Amino acid sequence: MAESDKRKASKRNEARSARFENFARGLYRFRSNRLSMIGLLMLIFIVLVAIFAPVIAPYPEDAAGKTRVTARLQPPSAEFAFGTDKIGRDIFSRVVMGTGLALQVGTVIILLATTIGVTVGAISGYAGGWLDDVLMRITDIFLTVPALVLAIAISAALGKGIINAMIGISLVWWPGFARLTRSLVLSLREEPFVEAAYGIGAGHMRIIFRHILPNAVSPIIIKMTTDFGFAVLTAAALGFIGLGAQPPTPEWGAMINDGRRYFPDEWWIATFPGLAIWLIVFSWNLIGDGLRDVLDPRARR
Amino acid sequence: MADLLNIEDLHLEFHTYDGVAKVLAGVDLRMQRGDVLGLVGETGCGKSITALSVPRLIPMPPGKITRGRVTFAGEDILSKSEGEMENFRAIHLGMIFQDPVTNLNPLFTIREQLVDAVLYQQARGQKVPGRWKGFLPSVRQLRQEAQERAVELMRLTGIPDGDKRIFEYPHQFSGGMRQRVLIAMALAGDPDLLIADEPTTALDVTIQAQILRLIRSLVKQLGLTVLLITHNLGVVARSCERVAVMYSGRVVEESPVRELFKNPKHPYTRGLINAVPQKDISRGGLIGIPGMIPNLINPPAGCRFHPRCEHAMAICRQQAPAVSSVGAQHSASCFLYPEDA
Amino acid sequence: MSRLLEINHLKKYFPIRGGLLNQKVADFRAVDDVSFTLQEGKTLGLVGESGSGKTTIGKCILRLLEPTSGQILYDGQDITHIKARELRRLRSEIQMIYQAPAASLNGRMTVGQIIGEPLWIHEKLRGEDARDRVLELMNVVGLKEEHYFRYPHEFSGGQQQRIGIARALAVQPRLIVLDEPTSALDVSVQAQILNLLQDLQDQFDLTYLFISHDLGVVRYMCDEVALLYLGKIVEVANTEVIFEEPKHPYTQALISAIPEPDPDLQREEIIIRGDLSHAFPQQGCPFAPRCHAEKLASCDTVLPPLIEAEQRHLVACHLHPSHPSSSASEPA
Repeated sequence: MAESDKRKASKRNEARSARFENFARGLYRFRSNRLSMIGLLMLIFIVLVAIFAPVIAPYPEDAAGKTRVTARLQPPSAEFAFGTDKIGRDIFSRVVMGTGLALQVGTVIILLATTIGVTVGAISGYAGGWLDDVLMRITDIFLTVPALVLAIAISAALGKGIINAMIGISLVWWPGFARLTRSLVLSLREEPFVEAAYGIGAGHMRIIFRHILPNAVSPIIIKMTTDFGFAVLTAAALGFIGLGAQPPTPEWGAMINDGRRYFPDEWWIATFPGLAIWLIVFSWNLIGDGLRDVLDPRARR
Repeated sequence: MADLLNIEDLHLEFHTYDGVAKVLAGVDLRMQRGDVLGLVGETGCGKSITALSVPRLIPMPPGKITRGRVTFAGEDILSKSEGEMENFRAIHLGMIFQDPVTNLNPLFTIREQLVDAVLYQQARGQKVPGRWKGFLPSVRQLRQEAQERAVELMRLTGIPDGDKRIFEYPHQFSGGMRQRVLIAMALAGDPDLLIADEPTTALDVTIQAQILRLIRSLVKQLGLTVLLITHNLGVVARSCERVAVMYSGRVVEESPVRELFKNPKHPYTRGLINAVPQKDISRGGLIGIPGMIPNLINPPAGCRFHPRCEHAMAICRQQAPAVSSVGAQHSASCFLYPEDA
Repeated sequence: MSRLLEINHLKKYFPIRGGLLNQKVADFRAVDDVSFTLQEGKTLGLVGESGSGKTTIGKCILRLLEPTSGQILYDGQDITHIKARELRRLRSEIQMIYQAPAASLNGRMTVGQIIGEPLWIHEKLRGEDARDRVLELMNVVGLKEEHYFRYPHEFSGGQQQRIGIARALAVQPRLIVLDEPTSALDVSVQAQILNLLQDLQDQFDLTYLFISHDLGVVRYMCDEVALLYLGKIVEVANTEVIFEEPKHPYTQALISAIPEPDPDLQREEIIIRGDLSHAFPQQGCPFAPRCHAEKLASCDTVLPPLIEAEQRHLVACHLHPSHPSSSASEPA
């Protein structure tokens, strides 16, 4: 008994070491790309800021809408690092407090869009025939209308608010994932190992979930990563035109809109939220590039 | 006679995540003008890398030559600049590769590709007689002459109706015909050495026989010098005069072709010949070589073949054997030789 | 000894599409009226160049492709059109080994998972029981226990092929279709795999359909050989007979083209012209445009039937008319 337990334990260790070996190899390749390491550090920084926002922000209550009539439109100073807006709120505190929201918005949009897109794409690519035609024509309809316009239309129809904005953006975001997944499934379906799986009697579900999708994961993850920044950007755009988070929520797009009227004289109101958006988009893009090096099957040995 | 090609003690490494792969560990190879040398070995033995070190087409990094010399007609190749190498390749070398499909651009006709090859070789090499004599010919005339040369090359490589087929696209050619086109391109500059890297591996047997016959006839007609890289001993037996057998980064045996097959000396060569299913081998009678090719990052100490060798002795595990003569023009790197020692 | 597999007039056509509406304009006749039988415990070699339809036949037998017409009998049962449930059962009887060992293994699964998958599908075995069986299978094909948790890309081609063989053996099949199992391997490894396949055949009473373009390997492995040219069988006979007295001009050319590692082998080299082309006249012999033999008038006009030219030696060539003594008996 003890003998077999020991054997089992050693087996488990072997499995872990094999997986660890792959992970270490991936990490090595990721680390050898300096730009993607910078991206990762930037993202870690952003996440830390989001977590410790109430501690970092000197005036956390400003995010909830506390006004400071005596200190309106102050330029950046020691007291207000990024200056203050038209009702005297500390921009730095609001940017910091808005970080978590931006990350949440990006995560929700990407997860929702991936779920819809991968499901549609996998069905379409695997089934083929008329079902493929129908699903792809629907996808095309979504793709022919400019994404931002469609997102605006959907969000407007659903009503103002950050939740509806996220739903609206997800609904225009999934066709990209559907297209990608479909093309991956189409080529994987022809792979000899999939044929071999049929040959040993595997059913359709097993073939999709065990053989095709696991091999399609890497490009999908790469797209999720690079899209993340743009999803945040799109959410900010909706916030900018007033369809996203409602005041006083410290949403970066809405903050830029606040500063629009004071630009360029009181430039700091719009600039610092803009820089924050830029930072998040840039970091995810760098990470996406690095992941491509790690996960791209052509780069694997 | 002076050597046309002389590779001496060539060591080459590749830097990878897992460590440094010692791909070539002291390759010695000489070729005289008119030689038809077969370089045989299995996957990963370094035969293609050895051949590619002559035109210096190995990406560096990750590749790195750590020791050794490569001289061609007395010139040191490794010390040439990149620009000099371009001229050198055009003047002296012709190359054909395994895959005749990917080596032709599907968007251009055979004429465009073959004429380009001819013009390039002329511009780089300026070896074709009658060129640049006294006046600068017009581009049209140059192209016209190049096209005539191209059709001539197609005739030489056995492509029927070259003057018509030259206007066709690669996809209108079969695999065997495409390989002939590539041979024609390789011959465009009238090379001193033709490097053929697995030229028949992607082809069917009957087409392989056609291409091998073509190479033999070109050798006879043009006095071509050929370095033929292959994993197939049968191909060597059919088309080469001399053979060098490589194993894990070294040439382990070299001899005239008949002698090698009749009287193989190195245990690896013997194993390789025995592993080919030949006539009169009954069921279960085929003998493979046990084990597998060694890891190049941590190669076995001493002779790299010793873990698979039935004759392995204590010394084989400690040091690499030197080349010893085992007959007329026949040498092997193995501690079994010389036998009287 | 019984017939395990019988193929009757098998055809597999693929549509060639073209025109404005991408409609079907012609048929690509990958397999065109092929019949043969395979005795239990024997090895039949299916030989041909690329485009001869040999792999298509293999895939039709496994029903990875639907035959256009014809009949496939396995152990007396017609399996040409059986439905999903029976098909799954059939797949524990007939297995296939693939040409490209690396590509035929899912890179996201460990060796243990790959070999264990058929055990789960057919016997619902998992956990301890499955693992013991997998380790046993790995031992049978010469893999080590510590390979259990490794991924396919960590192995050499020969070992990857061993993994594929173990996966095929997991369901305890009776018939294995070997589709060029060693053409991607080095010679020294090829010999190991060929010997392993022979040992397994003896050990488990397997029947092999051995698809290959390499006549040398076929000569070593097979009891009987069928030669394919453009989707049609041109010659069938016992291995020794085929190699000693090839009758069809194509067979003669192929045998003379085997690159034997023997420079002294005095053999008349027959080099046939041209390439395999599906654009042959639809009447007449498909090989006629490349044939080196002296042609008869009928070669270009009449398709030669596959007939018994000698006892148990079938040839489809006008130069070899039916053997008088055997003309009455239908070829077996």
